[in-house]
Amino acid sequence: MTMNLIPGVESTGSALSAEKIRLEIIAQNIANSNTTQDADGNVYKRKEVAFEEFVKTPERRVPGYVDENLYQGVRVTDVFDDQTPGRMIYNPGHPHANEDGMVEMPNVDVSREMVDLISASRAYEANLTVVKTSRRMAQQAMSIGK
Amino acid sequence: MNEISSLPSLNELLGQNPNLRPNAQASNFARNFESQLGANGQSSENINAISPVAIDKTTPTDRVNAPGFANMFENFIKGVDAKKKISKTATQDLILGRSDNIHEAMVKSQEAGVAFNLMIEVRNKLVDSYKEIMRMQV
Repeated sequence: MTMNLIPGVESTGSALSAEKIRLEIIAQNIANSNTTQDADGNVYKRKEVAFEEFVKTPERRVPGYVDENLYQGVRVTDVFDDQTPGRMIYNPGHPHANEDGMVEMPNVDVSREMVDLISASRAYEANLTVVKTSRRMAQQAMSIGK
Repeated sequence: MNEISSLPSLNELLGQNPNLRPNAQASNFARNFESQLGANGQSSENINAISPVAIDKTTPTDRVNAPGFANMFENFIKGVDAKKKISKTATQDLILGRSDNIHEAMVKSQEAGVAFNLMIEVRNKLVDSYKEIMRMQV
């Protein structure tokens, strides 16, 4: 029986990890906003993450106690490509140009990525606030005896 | 019916755990009470009869051998120590590059800190009560 002194910290921790991965993917998108060829020779496609809720079921149940191993968290289940076509640019001298001299640019919109970046950073911040508040609650409870 | 509504809700999941059901405490209490009555050789019909003052059936040896407060406190300290060790491993993993989750290490260290503070509070209370007894007039 372990102590669960900071309530909700397990769910929040999983959310922090998930938001971190989301941020990494956004960074990847911005970094590759001008990449016309990826490892497979195709144009870079904007990537997106899919979050899924998961329930951690307790391994053992102690009668009379609320089991802290039972919690609902979030995890990244998939990183998928955005399949919208990128815009074509006429640049016959480009090494990745096709027979007509057109180069397909990645479908990354940097301004949209910035919005996602802010959203991810705010979500991370919100989860950090939960941890802080939760810890403060524990400390305030401990000051009852003072 | 869409996919989201077919997923079990938190209430349903909590309901699967018998300890988390509403009124679980009350029914647990009733069950324990009945089993205690059964162990004492009384039936629940006699519950209305005037019962004598409950007799402590433990022998002095039982009381000596029973796990005492020291034992409980020792387990508690072990729990705090375990938290500290988990926090240490998480920080080490982060520094050595085995993990890149800053928040995990921070959260673990906060948890260990809160547990340690709780231990200190309990210790202070213990020492206070000891002092109080030592001040007793003989």
